[in-house]
Amino acid sequence: MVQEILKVRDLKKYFGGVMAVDGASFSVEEQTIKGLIGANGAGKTTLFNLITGYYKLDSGKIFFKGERVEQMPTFKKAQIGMVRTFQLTKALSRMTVLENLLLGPKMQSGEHIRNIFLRPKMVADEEARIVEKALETLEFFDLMHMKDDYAGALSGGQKRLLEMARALMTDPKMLLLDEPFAGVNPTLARKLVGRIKELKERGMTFLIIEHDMTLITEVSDTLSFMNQGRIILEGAPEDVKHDPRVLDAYLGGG
Amino acid sequence: MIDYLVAISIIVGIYAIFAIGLNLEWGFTGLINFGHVGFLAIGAYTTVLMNLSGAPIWLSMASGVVLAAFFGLLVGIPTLRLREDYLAIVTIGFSEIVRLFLLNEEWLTRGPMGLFGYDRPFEAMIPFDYNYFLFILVFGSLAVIYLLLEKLVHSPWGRVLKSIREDEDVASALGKDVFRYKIQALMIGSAIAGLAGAFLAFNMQYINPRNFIPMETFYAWIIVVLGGSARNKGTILGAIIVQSFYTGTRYLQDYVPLASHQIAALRVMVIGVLLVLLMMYKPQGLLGRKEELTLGQ
Repeated sequence: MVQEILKVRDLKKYFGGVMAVDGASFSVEEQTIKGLIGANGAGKTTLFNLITGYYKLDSGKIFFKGERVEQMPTFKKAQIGMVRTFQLTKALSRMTVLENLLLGPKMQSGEHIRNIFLRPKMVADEEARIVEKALETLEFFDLMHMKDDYAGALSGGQKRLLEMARALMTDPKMLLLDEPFAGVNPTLARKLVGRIKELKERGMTFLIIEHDMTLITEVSDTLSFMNQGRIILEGAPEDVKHDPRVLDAYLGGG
Repeated sequence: MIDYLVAISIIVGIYAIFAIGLNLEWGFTGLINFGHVGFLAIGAYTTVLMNLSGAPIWLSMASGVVLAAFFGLLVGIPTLRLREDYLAIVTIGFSEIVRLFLLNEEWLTRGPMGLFGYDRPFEAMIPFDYNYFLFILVFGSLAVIYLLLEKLVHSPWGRVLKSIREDEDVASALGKDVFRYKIQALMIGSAIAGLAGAFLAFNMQYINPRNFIPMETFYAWIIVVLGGSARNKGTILGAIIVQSFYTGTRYLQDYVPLASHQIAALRVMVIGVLLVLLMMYKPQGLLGRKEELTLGQ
């Protein structure tokens, strides 16, 4: 049976008098990849910010794994498995690449002061496992040679990879990726598409904002097209891609 | 001569403790606390008042530390959910409220007349000059605090603090309860300041509200920045430089033909010039890492 992991109903968000998200509704089924496309200013990133709790919504409902979550703070959503990346990459500059990844895993025992002093063995063992996992992840993302460099020294594309790697370290149920391929070289972007599909097979769900039509068509199971704050079209990638409204938004029309 | 060095060293040690608490807040967590001296005052006055009302000195000291941490919690709850500049404003206001309370509530604090005649730990049992014992006590405490902090900042807990300093949105995206960590950093930093306050009281044997003016907060900031933010060793080095200079030049008037108030002003000016030079030639601080300043966001 198909389960909806994320369900959004009639989300609204105004900035002053401007309606950024105007009654957006859609669902994401578990273990699928949904692409979210739309012209600049259509409200895609605002929608991400509403879903993950960075913005307070003006009205509407959000369900995650069947639970109402619109009042839940961001960090709790992350703890129950909803993790995002950012369109403008946020590398933790004055931390090393490795440290960025080590931060990812949830509920680390060493994040509690008492464990650091009372259960040092447990903390050290856990840290060793996390380091091992982080190194594997770095290897996959071609960042191994940079592991001891400050994250702030990475290129734009590398920061994007770092962010995705860091998000994966949390073992999320669902990943919301905001333009994951922008600035990433084509070879690696293909590799990422493969990785995303592989993670889906293992049970992960994705919601991806992306402007590169070829890549997003290739990676997604379904596409949603957003225009002026609403989802106005949903369906199989090939159908959505060739819809006149989509062509109009992307190619510019008369 | 030795006595004099010991006396200066005690002051260095007290300021190192005071500033290393701020380094946890600012250097590692990015909290802008402009009211650090308020927690120093709470530590000092609580220790003294408790002892004067009959509590044993160790219990009094512990109360000072705990109460300073508690006030860190009180100040943090309404402000740490807001952006960082609010914390700066609220803390500077808080430290002035503390000082004005101490100055005006004479029934409790004797106001500007200050407090004296309180015990110092083991004072009756020390057969030699008490300053030698205080020296050991202060530096022993500094060593313990330094080791504990180093352990903490190199743990996963410290990693979360640094991620909050870099970008708290990322920390929450990864499931970290940013507010809880900020509160913890502020409470620990304040507790350490409270302990420094108790030592300050022992060293001076007389406290009054003038010891806790806002400038004291900025000495701690100078020490942290001079040594290099997020470097605990740097903070200790910063304390040695600033306080040995500041205290050492107190005797300058014997050699320089200026009035004492002019010399006092001159000392502060020289510290200012030193800081400007440092920012020009070594902006990362003495033990800071230069690469960190050239990183883009």
